[in-house]
Amino acid sequence: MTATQEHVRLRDIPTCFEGIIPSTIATVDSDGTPNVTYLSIVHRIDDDHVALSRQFFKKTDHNTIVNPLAQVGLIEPETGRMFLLDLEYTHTESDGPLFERMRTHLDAVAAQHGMSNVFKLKGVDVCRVLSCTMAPCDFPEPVPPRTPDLETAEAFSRAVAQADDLDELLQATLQACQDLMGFTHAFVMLLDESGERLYTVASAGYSTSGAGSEVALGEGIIGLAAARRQSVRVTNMARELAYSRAVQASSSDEGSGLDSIPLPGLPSVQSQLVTPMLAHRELVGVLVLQSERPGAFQATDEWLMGILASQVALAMEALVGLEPSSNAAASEATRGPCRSSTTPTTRASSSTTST
Amino acid sequence: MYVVSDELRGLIESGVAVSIATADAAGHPHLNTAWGPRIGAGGTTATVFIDRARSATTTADLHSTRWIAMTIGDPISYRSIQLKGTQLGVSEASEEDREWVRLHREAFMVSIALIDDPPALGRNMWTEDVIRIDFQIEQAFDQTPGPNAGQPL
Repeated sequence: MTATQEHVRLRDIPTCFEGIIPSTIATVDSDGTPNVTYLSIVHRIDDDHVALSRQFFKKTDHNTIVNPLAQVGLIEPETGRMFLLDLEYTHTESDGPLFERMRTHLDAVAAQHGMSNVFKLKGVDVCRVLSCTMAPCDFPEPVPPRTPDLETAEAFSRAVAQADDLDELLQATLQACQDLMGFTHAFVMLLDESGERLYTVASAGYSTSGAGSEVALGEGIIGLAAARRQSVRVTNMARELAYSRAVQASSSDEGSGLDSIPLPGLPSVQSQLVTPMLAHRELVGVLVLQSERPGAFQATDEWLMGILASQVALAMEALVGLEPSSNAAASEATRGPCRSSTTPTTRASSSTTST
Repeated sequence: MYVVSDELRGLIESGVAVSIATADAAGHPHLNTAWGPRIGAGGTTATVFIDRARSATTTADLHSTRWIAMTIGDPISYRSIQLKGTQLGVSEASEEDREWVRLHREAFMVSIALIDDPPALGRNMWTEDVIRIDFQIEQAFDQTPGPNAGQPL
């Protein structure tokens, strides 16, 4: 049994912030009464600050006004180690990049389960970290951190650069996801010429290709990531679904309904990373990675895929020889893979890699 | 005083996740993971267990301010309840208590396995040595995520 009061750097426990295991928060009222509840998102801003999602926190909100001190409990999914963060509430943000980032994640999950009307992020509570300590446990050894592999990134770039046409580029992208990154289930969706819908043009690792599936911009996890030009990473779909159902069951808003869009591909997706492919700030499409394993995609994967997806988008643009700043050109580029076929579905099927 | 119904008792005494919070006299909140929640015969008291190795702050708070909050959540349905009350005593767990805790931990592990939580999760979540906390239930709240979270029961 190891007990420690040593301060733990937040950067050394990245998976605690992945949302795989629900976190808890304790606050205290002015009369000394404690309150404990669950928390959707604890976002690490830096080693000294975290941001907490504010959704359904009536009592917690009240308590932090009268007493800014809080304690958050985080569980590390790979080890079960528990970390206690002593916090001091500083301020609430209801707009800006931090708020938008957390809002996109919650909105995407909400939209996926038809919960857009009741699943609103009210604000993001920014807190200063006074201390972070590990609770005593039997197996205190940390897990090796996952770090971006630059050699893999370089090999990915080389594979993408060698493509001679769009078909090859899509194949190379999916093959590189599989061979170099170890992401065995992936698909690419491109923006259609109307700029309002995405359609699947290539996939790898699925028993059925999902080719031709369409998603409207702004709908579901994929559509929201595309509409907001922001990566969305879901680390535990089963928990997200259970959480959404609980919210729905306790909501009086019967009109919210279920309008979820079936995900292409895996029947039991647990983790998903949707990365917008941007060329000169124009949306070309999205690269979607899926896994049946909770926590399969971590923050480092999100950063790396953001870089690589942009590279694919730029390569796509270069291959069709279009002017980078032209909206029309971007639109044309996205139509490229379909031009030689009768429908996107037909074309997509030809780009599907079976594994 | 709040009286726990038989239906709520069934939920509380199932394979739920249990977190408790206490506070010191200066208003510092303290969390702890707890095990084996049990409702007394009359529905007005509760018993819960914490690891001895993690108990120092909790027990100091209970002796100082007496208040305790306990939130239980079903990992599968996310239905959650918070009970608040004042401590009646902190004591050694009996053999019967330890068996109760063991059964609860087994039920909890089944629950989290059903939602595909990482299997290694349980290896650091508890130790065998627990102490017992009894408290008088003063208030109860619906803590299920959603617009009704925080509503008194």
